[in-house]
Amino acid sequence: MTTQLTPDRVASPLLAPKSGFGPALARWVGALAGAIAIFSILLLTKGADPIATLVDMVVSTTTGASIEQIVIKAAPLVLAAMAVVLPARAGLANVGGEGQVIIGAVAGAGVGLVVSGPAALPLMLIGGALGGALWAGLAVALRVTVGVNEAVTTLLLNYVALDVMLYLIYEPWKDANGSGQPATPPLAIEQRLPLVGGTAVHMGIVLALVAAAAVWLTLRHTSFGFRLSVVGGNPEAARRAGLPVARLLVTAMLLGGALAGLAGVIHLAGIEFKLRPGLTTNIGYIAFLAAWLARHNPLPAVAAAFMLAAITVGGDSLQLDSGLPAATVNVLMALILLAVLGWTAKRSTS
Amino acid sequence: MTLTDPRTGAKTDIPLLAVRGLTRRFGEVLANDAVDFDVRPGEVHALVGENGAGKSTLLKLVYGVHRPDSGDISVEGSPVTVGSPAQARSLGIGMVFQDLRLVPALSVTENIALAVRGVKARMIADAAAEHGLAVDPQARVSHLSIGERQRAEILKVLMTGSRIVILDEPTSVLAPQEVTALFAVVERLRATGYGVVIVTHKLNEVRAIADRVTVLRGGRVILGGVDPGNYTDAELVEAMVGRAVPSLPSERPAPPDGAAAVLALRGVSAYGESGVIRLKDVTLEVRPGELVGVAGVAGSGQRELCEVACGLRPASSGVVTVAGVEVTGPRQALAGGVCDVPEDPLADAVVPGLTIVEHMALGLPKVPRRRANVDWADVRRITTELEERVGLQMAAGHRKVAELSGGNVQRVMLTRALGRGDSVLVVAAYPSRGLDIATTRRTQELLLERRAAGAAVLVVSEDLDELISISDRIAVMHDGHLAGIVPARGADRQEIGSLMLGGAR
Ligand SMILES: Nc1ncnc2c1ncn2[C@@H]1O[C@H](COP(=O)(O)OP(=O)(O)O)[C@@H](O)[C@H]1O
Ligand SMILES: [Mg+2]
Repeated sequence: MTTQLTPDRVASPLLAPKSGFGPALARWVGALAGAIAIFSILLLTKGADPIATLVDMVVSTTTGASIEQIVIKAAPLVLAAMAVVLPARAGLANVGGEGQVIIGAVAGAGVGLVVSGPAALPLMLIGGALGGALWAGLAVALRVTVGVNEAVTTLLLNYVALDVMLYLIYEPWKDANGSGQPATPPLAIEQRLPLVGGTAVHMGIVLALVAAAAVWLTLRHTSFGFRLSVVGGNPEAARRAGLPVARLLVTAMLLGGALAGLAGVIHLAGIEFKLRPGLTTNIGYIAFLAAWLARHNPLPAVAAAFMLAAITVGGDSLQLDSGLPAATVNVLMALILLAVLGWTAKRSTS
Repeated sequence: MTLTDPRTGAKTDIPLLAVRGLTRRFGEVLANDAVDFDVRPGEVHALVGENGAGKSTLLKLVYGVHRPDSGDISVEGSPVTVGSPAQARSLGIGMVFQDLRLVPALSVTENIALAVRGVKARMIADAAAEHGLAVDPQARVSHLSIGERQRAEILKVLMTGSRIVILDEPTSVLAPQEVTALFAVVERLRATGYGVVIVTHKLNEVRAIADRVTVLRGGRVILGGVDPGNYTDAELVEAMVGRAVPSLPSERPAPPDGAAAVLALRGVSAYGESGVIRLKDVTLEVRPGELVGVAGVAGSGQRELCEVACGLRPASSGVVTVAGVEVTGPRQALAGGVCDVPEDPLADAVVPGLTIVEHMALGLPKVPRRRANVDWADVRRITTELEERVGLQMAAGHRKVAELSGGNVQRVMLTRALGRGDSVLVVAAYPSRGLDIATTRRTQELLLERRAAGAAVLVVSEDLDELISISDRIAVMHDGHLAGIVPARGADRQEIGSLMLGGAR
């Protein structure tokens, strides 16, 4: 008996996975195990004891302080993942989370420079959301007017966003009282996000989880969500059904940008407190990964965001404990992505 | 019958494939009841019958998907058991399923390599040229049209060395031009000695392509391998349906005279998909209570005509009005009571992942809302209502439309378009595609019911008999022009035919 793939087996459940929970879990576990195995080989070649290192990583991420770190890291990731998930429902690839996060932080910081008092924080959040929406809006405007692929424009705008921020912190917004470092002045206390009762975790996580729930609800239980899935599934069918396709695309992208912008402000007002180079630590890209791992489903994307946050925190401890560079965990992330995408790829019979 | 065996070049009388007394039961259903069937080299054997007659079951028994409860299969005279499709292929039996089964994420070459080890793009290109199958071996399957996917599947079947090529309802998903292309390929296979089995619901297709025909009904052979030339359409229909299907009442009240046109095109031209003018200076009126049929060689502007009428395609010159109002876009047309049955549902109307009920919501002029959400309970209620009014037996409402067979997709499209009681204009392109005879008849009745209710109806079909039997007038298209309009009653086929080919009246 040969093991060649026959047409009949192509239609088998193996390759066209049912969306049931059991098989989904099995795929995930398999993919993760594979990724960890390859990562262990990499650790071996670096002279580290893979088992000890992995155990260290796990142990170090389950201490109280690490759990707080994970939650803090996850907050903007969850929001930025939603910024990918929502436009994806309309068939849009928002690769511009990173830029939208940066512009969100920039806009929040800008508001913070001019507004003080109790109104400052709400206005900063609104400003950040608008900033992110504007950044995403540029890309989607080009898409619906001249048909430029939004994956390309959102990606390019990431670099522009970074340049905008760097210009501001090296020049007009630079902290005159700072130690000469390129950074804005720190936010005033009332401009910072409050902490969640007695922990080191800021309120951003609450905002993020509420936003994720709202995205889930919108996609699943609103007529807007239904229209987005029509546009995403077959734009021509949407047009023929009289749906305002361009308007839906623009709305989805603006909402996505706003979510990423919000991620930027809560990162700024929750833990960074000032704009500086390297502010975003790739939030946008990691969130993109989280959204992909979750196949653009909002609730799994939240789980994926937490998982990636944990790996990042684990990476920091890796550096401390075994002397391997923290970037080593990027390899683990990449492996997980490849494993999950490669092994669980949905071969739909369109 | 003596023909050349494609492999040995020897003359042979032995059927490539013969089955005797094949029986297969699914629970209560006797899907095949002692079926005899054979295919000879160099012939096209049509297998016909209503939905559920057992055609696919017979083919799947032959191809090793199912095992027969009893009965024998022999290939070139030797008895065989076919335990699996792989075994069927090694016996030279290849099948193209009703629902195509290529892996969309892979290229044509990669897909063929799944069945034929070590195949190269070059070899595929050569085989494609040899069999007249236009397929790009490098193309990703997900980027191909249905017709191209089908050709890729046929190519795959041929490259596995099959000499018996089984095509299950290949035409029910194809646009008319593609049917012509497919038949050219089938002709070539016949001429080179292959044995072809083709399932279809269309008698004109049987007459166009088949040497013999077998009629199944309720799992039994009603007519076994007969020459279709010896039977009239009515006889074949009766064999398939089990009763005579009376022709549509030819006496119909004439459309009210002098009423203002519902659909009016004045000097309308329009660009086609490829940016060339495909509709040229067409002036046409359809009055309330009138059914105008559109005849023409496939690709003569029928698609563009339908699309301008539904606001889906802007006129590059001229004016299109519905009930006196200029048509500006699909949303306005839908709200104004225009319903359409699309020419290419899979490309233009089916949303992957969405259910029948969700597709029904898309066809409503006003989607019922309940707070921020679509009122799905109400949409389900409306769906049931439409279904009952229309009576086309759609699949269950929770089924995904993209996963249905061609005929079942068409039932969804028809139920959506013809179920609306308040439509003023119905535009139906190839309404009976993929439907069995009884359902086709029901569809024609529905079109006439809309007409009787005072709607204007425009029907495009490649079947002249259908057009003559349901239309009041027949508009003949040629190369984007309206070549002429003739009354359907007493229409002269020759005249219509010559108009279609661009001849003068
Ligand atoms: N796998 C199956 N399980 C149960 N019933 C089946 C199966 N396949 C076909 N049937 C039943 O057998 C009958 C014949 O079906 P089929 O061969 O698909 O008909 P056709 O192709 O002529 O439309 C139908 O009543 C159908 O419901
Ligand atoms: Mg069938």
